[in-house]
Order: sequence, then structure tokens, then C-alpha cells
Amino acid sequence: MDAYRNTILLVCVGIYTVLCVVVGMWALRRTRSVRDFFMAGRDLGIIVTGVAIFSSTMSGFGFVGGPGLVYSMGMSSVWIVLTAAVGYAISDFLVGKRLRLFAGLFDTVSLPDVVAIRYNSQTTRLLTGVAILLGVMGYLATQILAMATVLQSILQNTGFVPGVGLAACIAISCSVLVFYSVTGGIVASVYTDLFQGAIMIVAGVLVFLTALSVVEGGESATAILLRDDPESIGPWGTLGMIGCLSWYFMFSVGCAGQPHLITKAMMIKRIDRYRYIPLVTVIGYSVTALLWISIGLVMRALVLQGAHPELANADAAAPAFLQTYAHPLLAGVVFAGLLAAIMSTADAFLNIGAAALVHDIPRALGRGPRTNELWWARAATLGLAVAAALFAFYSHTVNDRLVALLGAFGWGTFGAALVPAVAIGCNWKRATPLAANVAIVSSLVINFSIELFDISIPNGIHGGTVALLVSLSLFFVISYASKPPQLTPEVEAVMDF
Amino acid sequence: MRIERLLFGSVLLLLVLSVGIAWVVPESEGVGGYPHDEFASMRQGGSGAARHGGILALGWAFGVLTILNFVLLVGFGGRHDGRLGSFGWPLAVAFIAYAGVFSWIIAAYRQYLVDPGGPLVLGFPLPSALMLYVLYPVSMILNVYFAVGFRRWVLTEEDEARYRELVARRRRQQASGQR
Repeated sequence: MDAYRNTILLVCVGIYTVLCVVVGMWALRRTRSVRDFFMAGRDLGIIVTGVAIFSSTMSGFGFVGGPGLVYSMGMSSVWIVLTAAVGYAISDFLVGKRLRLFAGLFDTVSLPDVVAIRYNSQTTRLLTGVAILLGVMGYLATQILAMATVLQSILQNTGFVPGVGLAACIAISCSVLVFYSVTGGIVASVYTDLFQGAIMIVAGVLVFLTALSVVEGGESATAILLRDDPESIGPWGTLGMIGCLSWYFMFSVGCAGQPHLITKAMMIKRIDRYRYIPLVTVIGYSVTALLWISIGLVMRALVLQGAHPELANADAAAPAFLQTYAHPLLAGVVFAGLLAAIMSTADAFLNIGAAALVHDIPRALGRGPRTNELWWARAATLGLAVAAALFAFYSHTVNDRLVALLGAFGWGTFGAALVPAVAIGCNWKRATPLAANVAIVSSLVINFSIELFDISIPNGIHGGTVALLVSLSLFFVISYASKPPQLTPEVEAVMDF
Repeated sequence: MRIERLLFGSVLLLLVLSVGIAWVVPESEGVGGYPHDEFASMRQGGSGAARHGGILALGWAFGVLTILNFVLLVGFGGRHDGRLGSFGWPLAVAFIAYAGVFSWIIAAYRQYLVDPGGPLVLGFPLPSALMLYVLYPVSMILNVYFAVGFRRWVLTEEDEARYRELVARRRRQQASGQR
């Protein structure tokens, strides 16, 4: 079967792509309004919502960057994996219930909609929309670049299209993503997330089982790492204690500020069903993360043992493992899973970005609803995808710092901007619009400055941690220093539940 | 000012303080590891005692404050009419278990610095095994609270009935406004 490895791989990826297109066509019939396009008609069940949340969390970073970090730094990045349970718990208690209550009462279709109602401020809506849009461009560009790189390596290795360029791969992979995101909006997104999540779970389990049997000589991978460098397999890896704990803080608390995750809480049909969502997300994420940890540890051990040549770079850990040690069918499933991980995150960002563009920012600037908002939502989705693809290609060929700069508007920035303004603000009546605005702006400025000026913080402290602590502190201090806000009775009632 | 707000503010202040201290104290040599001796694509940690010996207490304090912050945030979201009510004790238990396991990891790591050659526990050195097999499951207590205690601490049946009435009233108002 090994002789057909590349063909099997291509077939698996092909089947996956066809399934995405089919879901897009099916979802087209279920998308008749803006509410359907952005909120899935607020009609989702437990499994669909839970899987959509965890598969949007686990992006291409988890499937490629995660194993690469473990290969390079040992146990350090495992602290990011460990944030899943507590991060989802904070998110569910702080924002999940509250957002669903706001959405059901005020019929909101986006996060900035909720923010505008909560603070009675169009400036706060505008800033939230702009922060989301900046983050979306950065995230989308990196996801599209990752998607195209994976596709290029598959097509080149199979010999099917040996000279295929990155531009062509960006065009092919974006076409699939755009097709189902434009036709079916968030409905297509969450239902593709469902089977994408299923593929990721299968891939996680099978890779873990394969990894257990790969290391030769009866010695475990961890024993080899221990012999080489005890610190790498100790709890802090090579990054160090404070650095790991700053990741733990930032990724856990920041979870409650990720718009592509928390927005999904607004889509569940019955609020009482929400109680089971955390269990689905935590179990799904934990199983998928087995791939993150096991590939990284095993590849590090194999290279240390001399059983595998040294990798050109750490991100090659997962592809090298799959090409060399995984059964061809498993490699096919995992490569499809990798595309699934990337696409499931990208489609969520496309959707919230389109909402910011056609719904939130125009309203914040005083423009009323457009006559055919659904058409505009589809056009914005297409436009965003094309802009992000061009941006990704330009950054790759001309200035690779651009994606990194916008990439800084990632988890840490969303966390620092939206945890105070949304997560705390929806639970605390004393929070004022001015405090929310300052928190959002400070998070953008701090994260952008750290990336732009290449500021290195001692002891490996993550810049996002500093930004989050500063924005939280400013939010509380300014709220207490300003006049208490006047809330409408309905907003007050929702915040009392 | 209510006690939980005072607690939350104090924890936030202490977290800022601990990050500030970590920022200003001179870095131990090799705190962020070194390039690996043989393989350029890897890093290595070197001497754990050299890089962590001086900041173990600071790290422990930062970790415990982080965990206290997690639990307080969960409590902040779990209030009803501004009160924590019966959710206070389960949260206290979660904090004690969570912070206790974290402190156990630090204690095990202190021993590991002296003797890294101890037996592996389920494939990992004791402090790493505690982190994977105990700290992570313990942190899931909060998810279990959400699922099991949903009707007590998140949204009671009375809350839901009140909410439905609120939604119905708004819909009626919107309908009459449109007519």
C-alpha cells in the first residue's frame, strides 16, 4: 500500500474537498436571511455547536505549529493545551450564557451588536468591529497561507501537478473555502466544522496510537528526552517557568475574548441545552490535542536517537512524521484533518469579518441597514477572502513581516480587547463605555507595538499577558473613575440572570 | 465595595505586581533555554537549578494567583442578581484542589531539580505527569460544575421563565410599535 501513499493522500483530500462543497450547496437552501447567514437561524444543537467551537479553536497552528513547538521546546507548549478546560469554563460562565440571553432578547447577529446594546455606544461598537476586522485579516492570511502550503506539498509530492506554484494553491484552496462560506454562511461553516471536527478527532487518536509504537529499542520517547536534557521533558520545557505560566494565563483568560468562538454561543437553539456544550468542546479538544503532544515528543526523540535525520525546521515535525511513519490511509486522514483544522478556523473568521464589514461598522457610522443585507454579506465574505488571499501572497513574496504584524492581532489581542469589554462588561453593571473603548484601544496599541518594535519581555513573559493585564486594569480603574452608566431596564434584567 | 470585587481587584493588582517583578528582576542565565548542542532545530533547557532556582517562589505565587483569578472569573459569571449564593463553596473547593495540585507540581519540580533520574510515572517525570494527568483533569471540575450545576448556578428554571417573559414582552412591544 505504501506504493500508493501519494495517490491515497490525494484521494482523501479530494473526498474532503467534495464534502465541503456538498455541505455548502446544502446550506445554501437553509440560508434565507442575514440571521441565517451570521447566526445559523439561532437553531443549532449541542453537538454541532460544541464541535464547531472546538474545531474553530484548533487551527492549523495546533496541527502543524503545536507539534513543531513540542519538537523544538519540549513540554513548554503543552501549557497551551492545558488551558482548554479552564479556558472554556471561564468562557462559558462569563460570556456564553450572557451572550445567548442578549441574542435571544435583542435578536443580535454579531458580537459588536451586543456591545452596542450593552454600552449604548456606537463608538464601542465601531472599535469592537475594527478590532475584529484587523484580527480577521491577520488570522485569515496566515490560515490561507498554511492551507496553500499544505496543498502545494501534497500536489508536488504526488507528482500529479509537480510544478504547481503557491499562487495556484492559494486560488484552489480559497475557492473551496469561499464556495461554502459564501453560499451557506455560518450554516455551512458549522456543519463543515462538524465533519472537520470528526476527522480531527479520528486523526488525533490514530496518530497518538501510531506515535506510541514508532520509537525503536524499547525505550520510550520521554526517556530519550530525559537522558538528553531533563529540562525539556520537565514541566516548563525549554521556555522556562514564568514564560509557560504567562501562556497559561493568557490563553485561558483570553479564550473568553475570541470572537470566532464566543459568537457561537449566540447560535444555540435552546439555552438550557448550553449546559452540555463545555463537555463536548473539552473532550473534542483534548482528544485532538493528542496529535499536538505525541508527534512533537516522538519526532524529537527520533532525531535525538539518530533514527531520523534532523528536521530543516520545527514546523516540519508533523509532515515528516506523517510521510515517514504513518500508514498511508492515516496520513491521508490526517492531511485532510489538517486542511479541516485550517478551514474550520478560516470560515469562522470569514463570517465574523463579513458581519463587521457589512453590519457593524456601517451601523456604528450611522448608516441604517442595507436593503439587501444578505447579498452584501455574501459579497463581503468573497471580498474578505480575496483580500486576505492577496495579502497572504503579497506578504509571502514581498514582505513576510506583514502577516506576522497582523498575526499579532491574534489570540492575545482579542483576549486583551474583548475580555474586559465583552466578558467582564456583560457581567458588571458599573463598566462604562469609555473604559471599554480604552481597553480595546490599549490592547491594539500594546500588541502592535510589541510586534512592531520587536520588544522582548524578560523571563519569556508573553506580550499578550502584559496587554491583557494592562487592559483589565485600565478597564476597572476607568470604570470606577467615571460616572456610573445608565442601563436600560432590559439590559439590566439580562445582566441580573 | 463588595468583598468579591475587592478580592478580584486585589488579585489583579497582585498579578500585575508579580509580572512586574518578573520583568524587572535580573534574568537568570539561560532562563529561556539554549540552542541544542547538536541539533539546530531544537532548544534545550540546561540546568534547571540555575535558571529556576531564584524564581521558584515567584513562579509559584504567579501560578496560584493565576488559578485564583480563573476561579474568581468563573464566580463572576456565576453570580445571580449580583450574589454568588451557594456557588461559593464549590468554587472554594475547586480553588483548593487546583492550587493544591499546582503547588504539588512545584514541590515535585524542586525535587526534580536535585534528582531528575527518578522513576517515570505513566511515561513522564513526576512533575510533568502531575501536570498532564492531575492538573488538567482537576481544571475540568469547572466544566463539570457548569454541566451538573447549570440549573443551580448558571440559569435556574425560574430565571428561564422570567427570561421568556421578558422576551415575550419585548416581542409584544415591538409588534404594537410596528402597528
